Amino acid sequence: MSNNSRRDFLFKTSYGVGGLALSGLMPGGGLFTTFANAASLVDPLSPKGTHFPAKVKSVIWLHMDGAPSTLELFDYKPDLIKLAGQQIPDSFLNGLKAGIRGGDGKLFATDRTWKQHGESGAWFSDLLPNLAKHADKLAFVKSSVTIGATHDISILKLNTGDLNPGRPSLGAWIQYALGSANPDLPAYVVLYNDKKEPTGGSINWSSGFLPAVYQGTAFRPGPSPILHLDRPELIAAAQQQGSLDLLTRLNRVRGAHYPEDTELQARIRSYELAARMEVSAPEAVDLTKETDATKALYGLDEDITKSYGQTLLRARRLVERGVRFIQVVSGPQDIAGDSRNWDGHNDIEENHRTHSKVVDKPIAGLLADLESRGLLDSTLIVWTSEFGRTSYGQSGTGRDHNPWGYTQWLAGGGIKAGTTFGQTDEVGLQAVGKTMDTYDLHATVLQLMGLDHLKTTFLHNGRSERPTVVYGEVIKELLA
Amino acid sequence: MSKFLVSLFVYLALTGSVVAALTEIEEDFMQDIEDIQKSMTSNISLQDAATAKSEAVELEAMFKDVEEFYVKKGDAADAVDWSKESRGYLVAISKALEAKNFDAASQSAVSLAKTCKACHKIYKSKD
Amino acid sequence: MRHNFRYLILAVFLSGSALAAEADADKIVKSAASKTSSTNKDWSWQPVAAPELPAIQQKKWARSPIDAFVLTKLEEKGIKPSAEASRAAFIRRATLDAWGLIPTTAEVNAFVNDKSPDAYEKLVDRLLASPKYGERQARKWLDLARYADSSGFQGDQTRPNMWRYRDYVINSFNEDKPYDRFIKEQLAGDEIYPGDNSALVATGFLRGFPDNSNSRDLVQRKYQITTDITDTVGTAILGTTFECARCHNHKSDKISQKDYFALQAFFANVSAVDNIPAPKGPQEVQFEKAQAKWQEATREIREKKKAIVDAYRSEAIAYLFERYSADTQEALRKVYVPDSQWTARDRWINHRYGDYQTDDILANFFRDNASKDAKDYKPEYAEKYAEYKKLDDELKKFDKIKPAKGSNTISAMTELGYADAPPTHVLFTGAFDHPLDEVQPAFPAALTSEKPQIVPTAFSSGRRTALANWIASPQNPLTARVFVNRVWDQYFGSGIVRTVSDFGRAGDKPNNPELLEYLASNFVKQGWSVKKLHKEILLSSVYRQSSDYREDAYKADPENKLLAVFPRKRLDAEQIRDSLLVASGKLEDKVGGPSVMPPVPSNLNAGRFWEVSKDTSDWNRRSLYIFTRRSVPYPLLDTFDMANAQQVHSKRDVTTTPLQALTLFNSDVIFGWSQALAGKVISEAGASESAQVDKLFQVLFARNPDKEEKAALIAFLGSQEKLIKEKIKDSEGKLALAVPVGLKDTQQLDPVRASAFVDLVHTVANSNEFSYRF
Repeated sequence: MSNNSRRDFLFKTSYGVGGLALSGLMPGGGLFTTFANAASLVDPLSPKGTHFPAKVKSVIWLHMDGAPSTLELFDYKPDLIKLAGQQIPDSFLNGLKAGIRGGDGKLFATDRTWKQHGESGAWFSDLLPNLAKHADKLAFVKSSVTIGATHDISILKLNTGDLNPGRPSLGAWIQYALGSANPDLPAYVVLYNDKKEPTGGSINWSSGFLPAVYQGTAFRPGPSPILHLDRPELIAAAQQQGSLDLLTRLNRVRGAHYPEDTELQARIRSYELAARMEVSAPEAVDLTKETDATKALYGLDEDITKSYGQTLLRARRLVERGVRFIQVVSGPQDIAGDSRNWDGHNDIEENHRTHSKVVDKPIAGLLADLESRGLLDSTLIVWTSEFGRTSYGQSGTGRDHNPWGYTQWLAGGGIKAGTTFGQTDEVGLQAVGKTMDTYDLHATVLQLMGLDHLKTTFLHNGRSERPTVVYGEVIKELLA
Repeated sequence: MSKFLVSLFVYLALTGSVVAALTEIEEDFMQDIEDIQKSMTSNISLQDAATAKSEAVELEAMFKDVEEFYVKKGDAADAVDWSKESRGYLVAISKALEAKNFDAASQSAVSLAKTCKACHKIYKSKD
Repeated sequence: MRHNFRYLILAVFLSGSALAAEADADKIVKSAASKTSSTNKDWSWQPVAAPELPAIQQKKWARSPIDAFVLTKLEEKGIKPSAEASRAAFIRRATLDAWGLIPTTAEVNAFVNDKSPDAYEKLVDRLLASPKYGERQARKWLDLARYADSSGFQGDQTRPNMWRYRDYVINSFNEDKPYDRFIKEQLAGDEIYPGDNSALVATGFLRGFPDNSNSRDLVQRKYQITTDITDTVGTAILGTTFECARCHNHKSDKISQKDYFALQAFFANVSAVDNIPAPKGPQEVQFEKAQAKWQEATREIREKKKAIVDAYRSEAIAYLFERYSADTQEALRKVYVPDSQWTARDRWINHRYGDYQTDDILANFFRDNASKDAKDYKPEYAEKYAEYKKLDDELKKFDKIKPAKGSNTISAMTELGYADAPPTHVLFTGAFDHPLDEVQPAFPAALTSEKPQIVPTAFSSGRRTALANWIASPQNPLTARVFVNRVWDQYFGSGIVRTVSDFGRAGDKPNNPELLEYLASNFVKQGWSVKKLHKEILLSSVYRQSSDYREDAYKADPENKLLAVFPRKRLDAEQIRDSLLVASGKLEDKVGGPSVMPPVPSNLNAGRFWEVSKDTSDWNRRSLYIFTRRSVPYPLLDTFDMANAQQVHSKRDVTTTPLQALTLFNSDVIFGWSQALAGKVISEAGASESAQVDKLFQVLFARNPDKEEKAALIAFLGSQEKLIKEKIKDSEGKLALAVPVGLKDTQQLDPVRASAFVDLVHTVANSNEFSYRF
């Protein structure tokens, strides 16, 4: 290809049909986005319109890794306490998979004190004294259900709606549908507080079949959220900018051979974003300018809460900077036995006492801080987990996985605070009545972001795909 | 009669594959339902009324089979109800598509998917 | 078509209700059978059969049967295959695929200028004969073996012997060890090839399980280890996710819980043994020398430590003992009764416990009982603990003379000298403490009717031999299919079955079943030769195609499933790092040996988990020699989606993130390599900037820059020079410049222009073209 014809070619692809279609900014991405592959010069992250006015600008997705027992936290079941030690009555197993029946499942209770809080009278156990003070900000879903499998698989479903890798995570859909509100930061950030990436890994913030540019960016815990943020010692900023310009040029020239290749295009963008992040990212996560009072609010002055508190304080700073979706995975603790996260198969008492302590103050702090800054109305907080835990015991002192009925909660903009949606049976094993599956949660979150989950679509392999697969109902009862 | 049964079982035991075929058909069939349902959902979203409708009609017929199966099987009143409910949604989808009301069709498709899930919770993994 | 199902549903119903009439039954059985063959749901469980070669039109294009099978699908769709890639593009591609790094310019030139008719074959033979081939293929296998140099969990202790297994894998590929033998050695090398050290090392495949040394419930731990091993074997070798059947009967595959636990039963008697003396080679001699030196220097301190524990040993042991679960304790109590009263499980648990009961662990007794409310409190314990700690700190001062890597022992999975194995039970919902019926070792009933032939050996149950023989048999429907599909995936970015580790129903069906059958049957026919398999692919016309975009092909097959175009691919983490090392001339080309720790960013905060290798030549070893710490993945590789060692890693992700850009652009290590590359280019190309730029492109991309690129590059040198001069002006002359490294003669060099050239080199190394294989 001669230089002239190459230039022509670039011109055509960037201003041709595809380019125009994309610049038409289809709300929720629209169906024409596959043509956008040809339009390398159009910014895939430019802000896009919503289907209806958004209630919130940002989502903080608090994933409690390992699956807490909400029977120890929110779902007060006097009958469970009464019946503890007895075989679970058959009536409660109705409809459960064959394997559960006939098992040795004795009901189990830990030694909790339960109280009602706030005007809403929501129940909290003694494990969450700080969060309990914010009872009236929360909307509980006590009838959450999902598909129970290994943690990895159910976490994948929680984030992407499928049990197999390949679908985009909720954050990726949001970034795709709405674009970025801050060109200097990724619109979708993952925070965690462990040395290594959270359980299940990057497929949980993957862009799946969406263009690669929409995947989440993971920030490391500790003072350096991102390694290699500083330029090589002897390189000045202007020099690096010069190099970057050359890089973009070389990549574009060569990229003309592969006009449909979104991965190569995403790589060009990744360098541009990286360069801006050199400045914006350290500032975004730098907590030194936060006041002592704010730090104390998040528990930064105590060892047990410091690490998670820092993560949540960072989340708030990212909200302030327009990041759309912040996925926070709770970190591990050194607890005797095999499970370091919420996965209390053994000694759930010690496990949950520790983990509750780790998250209670920081989450309460986050709610208070967002409120005092006037950000609570434009932020959605989702407290979620891959599944819950059984009412019957395991290993004598623990609980097994329960995908049939567990509690999650939402707070913030557009949420009917102080309400409870759904319930479980008398022993807290299965949801009864209306339930909320992960798809419904996704639909509800999208709704609050101003997106109709049925119309947030992407054409993949000739199919119109959406975040909720073929499911999903907005839980209207949760909306203000 | 009983002689036949013995020979059938011997045959099944010997071939192995036929045992698998007989018990798996239900799954194959349901897998087909799932595939068509996904395709239909996509076609509703793509506003391809003609294709989506033909799929809805096909699905409705398939659910009729499912319903009959559970009726004959007995002790499965809930499954029969779910099959009926599914057929109801499919009729609604067809009607909505005729009227080019894609939003309504979409909503019914979600309800259909939800019914599938409800039924699978009880019936899918019983081996 | 679909409405035929009506019958079939009926069939299910009838077979259950026993009301069928004979005539109907006939029909049912027939239609059921035909249904099976038409949708072919369980295709992967049918025996492999060599397919007939398809008739194709463009006969000339097909160099091998592979090509015929691919071409026939293309012709069905009326798509033409792509033209051949240039020779230079081909050698870059083939070297990256076979070796995992880029070729040198000398290698490129030799191939491009080779006019002989068998130039391609000579190249491929050369690639397959190099030890670099084994290194690259080993990395792929190590992903599946969830290979690591540490245990995982909180402690994440170093496993000093595991590199021997890594080297075993490298050597196996380099020797072209038949794949069936390779499998047998890894599953049961100790039983099948007694006395063969290498086969013993091979069981490192099983030994690699993540482990929690602090576990207080060894019954549970045993179950978790067996689970890991079973799942690893099932996923890696049989491409089947048996693990779902652990908790419930498999929803989509006909694997029952009973089948699953019957599979676990093959591994019921394996124990980790980590102190088998290794044959003494230079590495071992060097290690022992260093260790002796350390032992001598620390003897006194260590004896003092021991004396503290000795005075309270029985109390400490009793205390430690109490913290174990009841059934663990029951097994541990057997130390007081004769061997004849031990069960196989008792042996397993006591063996495991013995490994763990070190003085350092026992010393925790003092720490835990130092306060007044502790159960075993004695006033002197606080002091004892402080004393012990102090000695420990003193001991740590000698760490610098302690051998930082290497070992004189072998880690293996073997059995403890007895033929009887602990019982295996089906577990209710997979929970270890809810045993149901006992099961015997058996192959999954849905897969085969074959029964395992278990013959105990002098020291073991013989169970794994039976399993290995079944898995590594030509009759096994999965083993060959799964492996050839993985190799195909490696070359074409996507398997014939896309879900490379799931050949079950939840997985994808093959998009070219005949091709898969051909590859699998031919693989077995060729004596399970992995090199022959690679060779046939490397020499095929499919593999030789250009990766250039073709609108017609894209429109007809947007996902390129039919391979009308060669699929470009992002390099794996190791390929990126190793290729940069080749380009800069810094690669330390040594095969095998203990794992190394190159420097990590100072803000990684890995502490004791990452002690940088003292020998700087270790820093530039190939990536597969970098220590795999389960809790601290090496950041440079981690950023580019390296394998996660927690479980079988079936396929590398390809992510594209700003973090990757920051790593390649800003890492001091990588920038240093660019400086070295700049030096190398100038040395080889001479003073002409045009020649330098040509050379740089030849090194990195195996091609010359085109006019537009060259103009941009030369213009960049000018503008960048200006920027650097401004920087110098601003800094009032106190500024250091990044200049090319490794030049013999720097006299002729204008430092500013040279610094601009370093920027140019670094930028080109960051371009898309470098990180991709086209």
